[in-house]
Amino acid sequence: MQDPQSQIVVIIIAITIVLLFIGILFLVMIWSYNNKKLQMAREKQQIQDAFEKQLLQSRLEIQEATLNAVSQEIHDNVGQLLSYAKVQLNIMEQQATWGQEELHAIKDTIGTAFTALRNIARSLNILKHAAATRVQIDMLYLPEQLQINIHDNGKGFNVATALTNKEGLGLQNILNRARLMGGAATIISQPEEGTSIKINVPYA
Amino acid sequence: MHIHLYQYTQFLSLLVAILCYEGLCKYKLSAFLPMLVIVNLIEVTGANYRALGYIPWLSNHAIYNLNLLLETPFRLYLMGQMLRMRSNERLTFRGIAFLCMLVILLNYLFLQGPFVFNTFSLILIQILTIVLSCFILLRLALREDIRPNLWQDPYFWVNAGLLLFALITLVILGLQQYMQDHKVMLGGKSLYKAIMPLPNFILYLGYSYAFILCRIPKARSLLSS
Repeated sequence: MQDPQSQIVVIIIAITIVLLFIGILFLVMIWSYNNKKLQMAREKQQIQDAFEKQLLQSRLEIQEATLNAVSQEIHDNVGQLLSYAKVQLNIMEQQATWGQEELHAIKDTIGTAFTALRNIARSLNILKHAAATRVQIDMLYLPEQLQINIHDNGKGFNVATALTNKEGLGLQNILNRARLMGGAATIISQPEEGTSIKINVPYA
Repeated sequence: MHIHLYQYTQFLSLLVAILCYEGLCKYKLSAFLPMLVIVNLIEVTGANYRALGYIPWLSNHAIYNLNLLLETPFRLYLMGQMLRMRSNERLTFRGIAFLCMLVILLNYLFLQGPFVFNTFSLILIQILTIVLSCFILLRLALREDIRPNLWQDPYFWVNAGLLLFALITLVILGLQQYMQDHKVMLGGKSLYKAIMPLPNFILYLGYSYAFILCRIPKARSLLSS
């Protein structure tokens, strides 16, 4: 039979070990909980990213469709009107008749074509928003990426305000498109000082 | 001069605290520096008190009682910083800390006195340490913002060390007077001396690692997660 002192030693050590075990178990549980939380947050972020990417893809597809419609419009409408004007001129040349009525008809046709062209031009960004008279586009083929610098002498704007406003969708679009291609875009602008956009896109 | 092996980890933690002082300030842990200076001074004096000759107020127990009196306010302050409390919680915490210090002081002056090891004070401090370190660890795990792994958080290492230290020493130091009176031994050594190096190693190595983590910029530790 053990002497009382040994029993006390054993009990003290046992209690200490049990307490130590409880402490370590608590730390492991805390660590495991934190890991699970981080993993869930990462998964949530991945789902969010995938959703945003899909949303962006859909937006770009819609834009693509819009641009196709614009080019279709140019081809089918403005092109047809100008061709018709040319035919009218040919007929007049062959008949050698330069009546007021025919001239008026051609003038109307060309006027309609101009109006249609102006409407299409208005739908393009820089011309629509910047009120610029000069746009310079530089493309630099760097070893690992393509750098596109676009500079205009337009009216400029406050970048932070424009990006937070709903009206800044075009600017957001530039940033998103660059991000989608694995690159980045920087927009620098000040009111009355024009706008510079720098886009870096990796080759692969 | 006699120095125990575990005291080297105390010196190490003080040295690392000095080297990483800027990081400690960033994490609001700068009070560790004076606290570790006190701990080291008291431990060195406690281990060599016989060499200083017999002075009543300089007995081993009197020295460690002083440690309880001087170290506890720093420890409570540091735990208060790590808890990141709201204003109403801070008021409650201050009240508890004040009452705790009052009990320790009354015990030191009137109840157990300065020359008997203040086991009641020690048990109170260790229970408070266990409760507060558990709260801090839970807060670290339950916080809303996504931060790096707990292993990279200095608060985790400080409180894990404190929790394990307090759980082990609650029994050993709580029964210290009893063990001394009844000469409770393990392998020819007093049980106290046989076990105490382990929690000290855990605590001061935990501190040292936490101080090193304080030196790593927060942004970098976020990226490396």
